[in-house]
Amino acid sequence: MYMLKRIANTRQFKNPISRQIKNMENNLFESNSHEESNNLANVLETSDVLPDITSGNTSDPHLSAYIFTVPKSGNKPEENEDAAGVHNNYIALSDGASNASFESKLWADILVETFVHLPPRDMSTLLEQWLVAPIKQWKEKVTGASLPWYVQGKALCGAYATLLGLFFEWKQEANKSESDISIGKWYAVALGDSCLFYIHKDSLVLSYPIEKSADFGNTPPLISTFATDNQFVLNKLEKACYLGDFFLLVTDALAEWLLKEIENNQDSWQDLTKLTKETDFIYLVENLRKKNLIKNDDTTLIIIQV
Amino acid sequence: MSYKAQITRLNPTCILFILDQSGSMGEPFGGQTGIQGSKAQQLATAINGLLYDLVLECVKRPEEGPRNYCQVGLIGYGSRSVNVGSAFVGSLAGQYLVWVRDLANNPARIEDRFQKVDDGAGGLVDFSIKFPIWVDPVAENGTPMEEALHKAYTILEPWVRSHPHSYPPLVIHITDGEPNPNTDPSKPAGDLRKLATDDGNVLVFNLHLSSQSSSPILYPESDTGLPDQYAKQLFQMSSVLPTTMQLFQMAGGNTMKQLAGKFGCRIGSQSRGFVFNANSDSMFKSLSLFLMYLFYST
Repeated sequence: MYMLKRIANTRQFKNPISRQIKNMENNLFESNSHEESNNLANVLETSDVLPDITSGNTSDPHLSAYIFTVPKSGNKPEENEDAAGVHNNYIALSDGASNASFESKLWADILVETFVHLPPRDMSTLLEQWLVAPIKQWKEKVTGASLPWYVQGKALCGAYATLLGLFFEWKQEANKSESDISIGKWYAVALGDSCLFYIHKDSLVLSYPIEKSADFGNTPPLISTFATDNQFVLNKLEKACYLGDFFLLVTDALAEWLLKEIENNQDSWQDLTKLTKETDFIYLVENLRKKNLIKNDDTTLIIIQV
Repeated sequence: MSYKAQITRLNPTCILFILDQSGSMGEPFGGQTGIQGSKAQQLATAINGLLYDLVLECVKRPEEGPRNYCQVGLIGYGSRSVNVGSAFVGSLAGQYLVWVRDLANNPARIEDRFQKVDDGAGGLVDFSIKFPIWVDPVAENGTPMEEALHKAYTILEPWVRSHPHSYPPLVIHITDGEPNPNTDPSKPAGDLRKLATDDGNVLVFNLHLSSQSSSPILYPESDTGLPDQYAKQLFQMSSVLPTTMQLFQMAGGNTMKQLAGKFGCRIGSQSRGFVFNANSDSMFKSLSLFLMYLFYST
């Protein structure tokens, strides 16, 4: 809650009321109390909300892609705040933060769409400049004076989301039948706890950006609709890419489980690489939830095979 | 008795505030300078602010409005017009329990307040905040505390029966004074704490506002060290802070225990939801701490 967030003093939270109250305590505040017409019946219209991207097709002949997603149990599909997208050689996954965040699903959608269609030219300066357009897009959709007080108040809190981006550069004359020679490079950027698992020659080579299950639960850095909150330096991961490589891009609940499995020498990630049907994915996730092996959260998996 | 039930629209919870509106609330906090307004004014701001937060926390998607994760009640006591009754003003006046959605749509009025906020591009702009008002400062008459707590019992007794699987109701009682002579609020407070859902007993937290300049006693584990019989009685009336509430990790990574530590007080396993001699600052912070579990677990 917003008063509490003042105490928590985290960058994460913009809390108009707590500042308000703080100001009052300091006698600094001006109040223009007047009666106001109580017409709060106007409700935000959902205008041009981006389509959900739940099935991905890549027109890049090097890649095949599957995207599966299932909302938090008890929630409707439209309440799923994960967003995933694949376009040519660009892949993105984003997990909207629902706490203290507003229209984070919209924010996650915009981030993914922007990453795959208008990728940043230079990944090392990804955030500052690249985020100008998506922030503007988000703001245009959530602000308006005729909206109820709580929508206006909520918009002031901003939206937060993770972003995991993966993209490929292919060699011009790669030998497409020889699996020992690299056919190009892959790059990944990540902010937050959405994770990439890289599988080469049937073994799991790395997870990125989180390497240990114990590292979940801490508040991850997130991309904000407040430009000033996005002062991050991103490390770009750069690796050679081979025919037959697999990439699993997953949101936190599944990522945490996968890392625990890996730490217990279980190769459950192999089951994920074999999925081809959304119903099988949903069955798998529901089963894990039933056994309390993963937390109840929106859960998304992107499978990329080279 | 776990205090682990997930708060959902199908399994909502209930927060009931009991506000002392007796005459002494018209005085400033004891021993504090530089605080604007009386205890009653500060309390009204805190409650309006908390309800603002609560509504916003229940808004997940703007087009659907706030979700009914809980019902909220305000009981006021002492006020000349009602003695013990609903503390809502405006169109909700007279109501005891109100769904979050109705709360959102029916403030008595909305005030414009101004403050500096991040403009999203590295600067600060003056921003007008819509600040809804549900409760006004009142400071009149005596302190019919026992009657008020009994009123809470009559509201929550049917509530727990109709919500057997819900996270149990939370009662937050805020007072600055001693109960009327020859009355005993600990009896109805005990009755309240005996009410239960299958997730735990009703929680009763007491927040005593200072009239003197002595420093606040926050979340004590025992009544030794409490200055008088009255403080000990309020201690006995207060529930132990459930472990799940103490250790619940909210966004930001902090627990109630850690946050309390940050503002210099210790929460132990037997700590009660009780503050004695709260000043303005510890009133705001304690109210936030008491409600954090509910707000973060939806």
